[in-house]
Amino acid sequence: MPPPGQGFATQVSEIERHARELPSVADRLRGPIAVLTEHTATPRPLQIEAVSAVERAYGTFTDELANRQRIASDRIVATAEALHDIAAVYRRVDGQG
Amino acid sequence: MIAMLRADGLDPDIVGVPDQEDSDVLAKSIEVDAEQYMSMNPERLAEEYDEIRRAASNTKRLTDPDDVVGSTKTEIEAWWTGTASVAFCDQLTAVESCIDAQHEYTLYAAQAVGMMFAVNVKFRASCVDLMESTADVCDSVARKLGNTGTRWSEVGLHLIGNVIGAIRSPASIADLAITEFLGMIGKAVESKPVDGAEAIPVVAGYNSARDRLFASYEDNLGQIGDWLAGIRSEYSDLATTTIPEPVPRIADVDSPDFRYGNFVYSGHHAADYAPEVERERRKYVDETSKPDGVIAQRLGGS
Repeated sequence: MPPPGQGFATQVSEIERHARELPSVADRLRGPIAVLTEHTATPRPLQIEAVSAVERAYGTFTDELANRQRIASDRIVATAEALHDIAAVYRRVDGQG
Repeated sequence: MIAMLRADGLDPDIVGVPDQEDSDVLAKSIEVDAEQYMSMNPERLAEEYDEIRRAASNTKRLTDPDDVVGSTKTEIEAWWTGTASVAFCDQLTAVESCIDAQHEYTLYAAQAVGMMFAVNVKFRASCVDLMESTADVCDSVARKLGNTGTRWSEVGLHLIGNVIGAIRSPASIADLAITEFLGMIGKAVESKPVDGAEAIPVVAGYNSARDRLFASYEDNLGQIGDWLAGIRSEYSDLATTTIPEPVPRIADVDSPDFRYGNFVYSGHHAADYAPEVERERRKYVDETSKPDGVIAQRLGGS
């Protein structure tokens, strides 16, 4: 097997760096989730159905927004972990792991 | 209204049960209407509007200010080839699309709140105007002066349609104060006469106007609900392109489906390094894999 080379080592380092940085993107994407889920309206006594219906529709929509933001955050972390693992294996091949 | 009926020699028994509690019954009826129809608080809606807009802004501006996602994708595209490389780039493209879509559709949520605010503010003002204008006419009729042409502002059915038509894109919501929704209503508010020049017709006119107003309120809220259903449907259709997929097995070194050829340095022939990568992959998985299950973890002392 030929030696992996300096270019390979440099690019593995870059993959490691990106794998370290991506989770912070996920953390920041999670930031607004609490605001999105807090806003589901609580039904009040003597409330007409038209009010309840529009509040339900709005609450469901903001819950959907929050849920998608949560899924995206989780998958960004999983992507970062996958890149980290690849870089770790490639470091070993390069004899630096 | 009760004074007007009495002045006209009529029994002010608005509910058909003559007793001494009639004035209380009338007051109670107005209170119940107010509780039912004025349960959405404009001040609370204004707070919510600002919070949701801030959430949208933070999703767009703060999530990835240093373009980590874009630079990772550029790096992979420039130096790495293979199916896993393509899968990572697709994943990162979906993350970028997701951030944009979350920003845009969170602004649509803010628009829904803005429209609820506009309906409720205009409806409340219209209710107060109807009551005060009718009270003026009642006073005038009680003093035998008849109806002097008093008018009130009635909220019609097209309020929400006018607001939706005035907002060109959700991006404009980012810089739009909630009170600006009120200016988009246009001709949905019409000047109407207070009907009736004698006691009974004034009462009948008030009841009819109030019922029209309540029906219009419910209809406008229904239009917001219909609009939201359309937005949710659009948002749902975007799921395939804006929700990042789970990492595929071909890109996961924990999986035997991973190969060096799936994620290969562009200066390499994959076959030259594939056996050693596979050897190191197996060792890495053995060293880093955790015992499965709670019992195994407890037996392992973790």
